Amino acid sequence: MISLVADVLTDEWVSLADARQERPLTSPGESACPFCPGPRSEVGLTPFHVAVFPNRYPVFDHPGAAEVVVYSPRHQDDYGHLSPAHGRLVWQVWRDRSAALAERTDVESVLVFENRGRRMGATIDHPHGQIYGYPYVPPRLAHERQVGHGSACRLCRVDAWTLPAAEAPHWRLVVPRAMRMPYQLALVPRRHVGTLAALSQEEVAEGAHLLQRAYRAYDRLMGYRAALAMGVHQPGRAGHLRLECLPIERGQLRQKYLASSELIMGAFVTDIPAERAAERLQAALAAESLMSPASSAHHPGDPKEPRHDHSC
Amino acid sequence: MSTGGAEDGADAAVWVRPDGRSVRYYRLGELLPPKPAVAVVTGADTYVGRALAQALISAGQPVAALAAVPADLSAPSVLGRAGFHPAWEAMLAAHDASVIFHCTRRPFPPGGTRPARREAALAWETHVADTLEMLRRWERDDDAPPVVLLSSAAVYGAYDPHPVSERTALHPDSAWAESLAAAEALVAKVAPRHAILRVFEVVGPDDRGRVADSRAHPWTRLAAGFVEPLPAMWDCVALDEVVAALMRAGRHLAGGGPSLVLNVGSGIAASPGKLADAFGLPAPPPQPARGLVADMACMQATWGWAPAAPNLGALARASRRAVQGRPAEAPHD
Ligand SMILES: [Zn+2]
Ligand SMILES: [Zn+2]
Repeated sequence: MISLVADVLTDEWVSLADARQERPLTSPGESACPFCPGPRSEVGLTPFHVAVFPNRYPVFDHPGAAEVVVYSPRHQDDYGHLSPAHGRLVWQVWRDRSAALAERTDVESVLVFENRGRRMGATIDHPHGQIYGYPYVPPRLAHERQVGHGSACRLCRVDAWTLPAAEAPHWRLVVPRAMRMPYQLALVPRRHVGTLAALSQEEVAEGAHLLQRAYRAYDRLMGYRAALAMGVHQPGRAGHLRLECLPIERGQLRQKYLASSELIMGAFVTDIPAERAAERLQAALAAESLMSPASSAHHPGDPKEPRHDHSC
Repeated sequence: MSTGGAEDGADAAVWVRPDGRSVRYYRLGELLPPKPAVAVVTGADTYVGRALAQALISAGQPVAALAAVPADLSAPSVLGRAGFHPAWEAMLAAHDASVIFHCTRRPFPPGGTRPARREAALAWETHVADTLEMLRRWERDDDAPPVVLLSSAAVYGAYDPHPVSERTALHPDSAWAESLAAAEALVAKVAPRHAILRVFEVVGPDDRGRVADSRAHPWTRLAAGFVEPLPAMWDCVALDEVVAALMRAGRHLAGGGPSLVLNVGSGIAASPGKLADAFGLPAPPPQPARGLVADMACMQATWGWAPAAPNLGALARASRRAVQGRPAEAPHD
């Protein structure tokens, strides 16, 4: 049973999906993983690189939609570590499904997102993201629209309120001076486009790769697979697309919690200056640009080297 | 099943599940290619591990590095200790390990800057707990990658008479050496194919007359309390021969060779006490002066290597000259 309940104090919608209480909370092992290919799995046995299906435990369902995007058939994969072509395919699936959902009359706004890591709330370890088709305009989007109404696009002048983390011909990866979460990043196309579908193939390729680099940079920075929320803002015709990464990491497995100020007043508090975050992210991103997934399988055995057996 | 279009060679097919939900499959041009095989170097931020990773890269060998602190290598590297599962997950998501060079070793106790019990715990954690965690990833795997373990002549303890062969009983006489001997036993029992290399460090510049500026290296910084009175201690490890031995062991195993245990290096292991002795410096307590000479017959028979260090005192003098003749912070190479 799914129902929408309005908060009378703010006019904001809250979605209630009580069947979600029954969803599996952990993936006990690869054999039991619902997203690993198998006869009883969500994805069946058809070979794929990326698979999409409606969430078995949706938060929205007519009106609205909730879909799962499985990034890879391999349980151990991670978006940051997919091959570049595979990373691009994920973006193509996002744009394909976003466009399809946005056309529906019962969908007001589409959010492509990933909860990366259990500490971020992912209940299944298998690499995957989700797509929500909200049957209403979510509060943050409504607020941004209201603030930006009638003024010049702030994302076209992103230098004014962010610090650069990495530059590319079609994209900027930036740290907002007003970070809500430590090491927050925004990936912004230089061109004023409002949806993933409006991106060129070149822009998709470069953006997909930059986001992979950002994931790996977080891992490099933390020393482990960083837990984060990643979401794609697609404001549509009038707006300017952006992707956001909000890690919950403060380093060394210390977590940034949403606490009273954030939950009760919606007022965010961080303890890492944007300048320092940008500096550390720049270094990690630069190190990750050296990393290119090895293209050819190569055996360490040199065929010219004579083989000796241990004779002692 | 119907097929819909997607861009850039991607294919979308739809399967309607029995429960009415439909699954969309997207594919690249072909099925997933096999993951590239790489040599994994753990401890790629340590003195030997870093040099090994660099040598492998120079030799054109694809390398994936695991390092506790950034190793600044032009290779895919993952931050994390060898026993840290998420680090392995991140690495193995993208690569297949064809051979693991397990070079993670605790820096040698820096002479009293840390309580001995703390140092012992760290040695057991690094050598044994991390090694066990690493090996358990493949404990049920028939196709586990071979492991080359960087061990040390310290597992023999102080021996008299010299020299010691690989069959000599082990008498580790510190927590550092005991835990390393335990790591050897773990690797021997759990890794189906392995090479255990007991490194005899040698005092002196390498055969090209180079000395490493290890003072710039974090490993040495960790040991700084000990290095300061003995500047040549880590500067003069015969790194090239150790690295070459590790690479040969990797090729040996990757080529299907049987497991082995080998003494490698140039024939001499020197304790801090023995070094201090050779340099005419006061012996750093609490280690007693001792020296150890390896029986290199096995290494020679296997790989045709000749020990290069006949005389500790002469080498110490040569290395002292080499070190004193260089600016203190000159970079290696
Ligand atoms: Zn799975
Ligand atoms: Zn704009």
